[in-house]
Amino acid sequence: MSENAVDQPPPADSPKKITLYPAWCKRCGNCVAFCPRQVLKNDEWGYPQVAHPEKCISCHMCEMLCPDFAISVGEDAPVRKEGAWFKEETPSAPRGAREFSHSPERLAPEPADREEEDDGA
Amino acid sequence: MSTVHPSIVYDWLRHDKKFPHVWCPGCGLGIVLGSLVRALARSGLGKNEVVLVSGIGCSGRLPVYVDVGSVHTTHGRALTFATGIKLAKPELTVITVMGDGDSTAIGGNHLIHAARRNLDLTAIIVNNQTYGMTGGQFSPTTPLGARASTAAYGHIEPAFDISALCATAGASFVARATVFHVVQMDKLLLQAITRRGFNVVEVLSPCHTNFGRQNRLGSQIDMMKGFKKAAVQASRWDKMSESEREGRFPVGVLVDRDRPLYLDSYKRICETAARLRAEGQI
Amino acid sequence: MHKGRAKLLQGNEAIALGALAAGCNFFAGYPITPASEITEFMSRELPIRGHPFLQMEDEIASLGACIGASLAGRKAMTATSGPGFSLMQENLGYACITEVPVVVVDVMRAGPSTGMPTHSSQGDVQQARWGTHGDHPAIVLCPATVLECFELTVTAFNHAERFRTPVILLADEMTAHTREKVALPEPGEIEVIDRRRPTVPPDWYVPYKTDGSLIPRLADLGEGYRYHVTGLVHDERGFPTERLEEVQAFSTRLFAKISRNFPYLEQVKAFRIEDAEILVIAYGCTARAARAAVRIGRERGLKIGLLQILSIWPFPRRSVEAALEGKRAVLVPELNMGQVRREVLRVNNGRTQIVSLTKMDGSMIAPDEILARLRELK
Repeated sequence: MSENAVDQPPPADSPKKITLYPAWCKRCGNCVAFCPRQVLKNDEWGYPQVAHPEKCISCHMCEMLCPDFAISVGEDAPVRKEGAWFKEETPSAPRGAREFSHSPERLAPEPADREEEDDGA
Repeated sequence: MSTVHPSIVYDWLRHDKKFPHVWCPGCGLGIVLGSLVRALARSGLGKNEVVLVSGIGCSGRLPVYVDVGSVHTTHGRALTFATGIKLAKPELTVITVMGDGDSTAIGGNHLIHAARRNLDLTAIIVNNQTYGMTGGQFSPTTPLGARASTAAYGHIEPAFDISALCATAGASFVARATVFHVVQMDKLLLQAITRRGFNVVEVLSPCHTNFGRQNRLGSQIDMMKGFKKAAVQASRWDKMSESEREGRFPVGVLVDRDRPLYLDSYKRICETAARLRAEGQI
Repeated sequence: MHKGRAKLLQGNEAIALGALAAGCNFFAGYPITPASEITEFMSRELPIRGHPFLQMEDEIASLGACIGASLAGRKAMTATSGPGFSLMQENLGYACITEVPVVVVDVMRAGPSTGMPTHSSQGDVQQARWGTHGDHPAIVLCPATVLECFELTVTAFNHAERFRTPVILLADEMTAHTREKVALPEPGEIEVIDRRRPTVPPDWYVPYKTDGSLIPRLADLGEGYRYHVTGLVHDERGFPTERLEEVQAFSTRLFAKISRNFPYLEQVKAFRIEDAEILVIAYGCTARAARAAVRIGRERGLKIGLLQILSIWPFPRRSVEAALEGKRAVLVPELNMGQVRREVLRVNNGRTQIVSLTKMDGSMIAPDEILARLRELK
């Protein structure tokens, strides 16, 4: 049996919703090139578009060969946001723990060549 | 193999790390990242039981995206840190991610000795046949005659076969995949992660930005099609003649054997030592 | 003194015993003269306690394994000599920037390169300070007797754990291979400091955020705190950063956590310096000869005293400055071409006359040689 990715048979229950995330897409073209059913095509800017959703066999090849996690196949696609992505149930940390802030010691630069001068009084 | 929805990757990627990631468009490392994360999800391991260790180079940036304990170490030394972590906390599953230069040039010594020692570690070696991050200089796996930033007139050194090197050095499990054979890569990584002993998975990955450009191999799509054409399943490879093998390479499980496990042997040593001390002999 | 408990010990053995007393439970090393006895000792003792011992493929790997083990919560040590210490510089820098506690023993031998493996030297003093690339702070301790080998190894672990930094124990071949009768302190008499671990739940943990002490809390790998460790300059969450204000804040804190604790780190021993006209400043095996020279010199009516340096980096500027005051001359004997003399000159700043006694033939500086050099000053 060939292990070649494109020869995988479609799973029995095949949800056919394809979700694209242009904000994460780097337009490398893997998804379009390796879709075994030519479901996707490039738009004029090189971003993938779903051209033939009815042809999709839910093999997930586009999803697995996308280096940037910019495609999901299936109904339960996670929510991505610009930059990082979040799930609805992300545990909430106290304010200040997750967001960027400096530690309390805001230090002036050390004087050069006087490493042991400061007595920290 | 238990089925998991490919979207499981989003449970294992770091919530507070920015995406898209740092690699070039089309780089195979993103595919390896996805594959690794799917293998971890299928392994049944919890996120707190896994530590990812990497060296320097493009591959060194991989662990930061995975929501596990991750250590980005010095060039070539990932296996030495992993050895320390594993021995300090044997209950952890320790996985190293290295590049070809990282693992076989500067870290070649550590690789062969880790394979010889047979501590329970997984080594994922992403082989793109060049030093991608520094601008496409030749690496120990650059093919003879290829062009590189430091081989303007063609490369004159023969290449390492990483899988063969690890097999000879004593690894328990050696497998090869390419980023094109992503489904097979998922399976091989799962096998390596859940297996005891020193397990190596060599993943061929395209560096179209440096290696491909200098050798006129086209885009990463062309290079991945090249992998498809040249790869032969290991079961078929054994039956091929020398002439048929020309320019091709086997993928799949290449070595799968049981060798004495370091941790088991060390446990025995500890028991002996403690007994001798209790008996007052030492 | 605990005369009842006295036993004959070698310097290297005392270092290994000191490590065990300080709670060392991981050792990785590579054989090298004159530090091999430490590795051999640990290979016998750690398995008895069920702790890992590793002989790695080289010194780079040894320190790498130690840093990995430390991140997983162990107290780790490695031991080497000059050639191996040179190889370790790479991972020493890594331990600096990632703030991982680890103890490195360098038993100095004559160099450069292979040099004279079985002969003593003090040639690694500046390497221990500046060996790894990039500007960084360093804590280096320098024992002169077998008892100090034990005590300073405990101190090295305590400093490493408290300040989250690599600490170097800079012994020399002479001290490490000396056998003498010592009474080691009992376990209850030794202060052992452990790193501060996070007390907040994992979701709240910001790995490089500090709470006013300049030293962030360190979580063990695999304890639910899933964070990133990198040798790249990182922000408070541990992720690589190149934002100017974050990079400056990071490097400033890296230095400040050492310099602000300077009084705590400074460690010297003064011997008859109150009424001394001439001061000898020495460290390691040379301090031992200098102590004998002071004793003999005093018997002959010479007004000399000794300031022995134990914490060689950061350089004990305050103690040296105070000891220099009012002295007619200061002699710095050492087994190199004047590496500490350079520091004494810097501190002296023209106050008094600084004289050097250097030797690089592999033998020790004898008390007579120090006295002879002092007589030249008369």
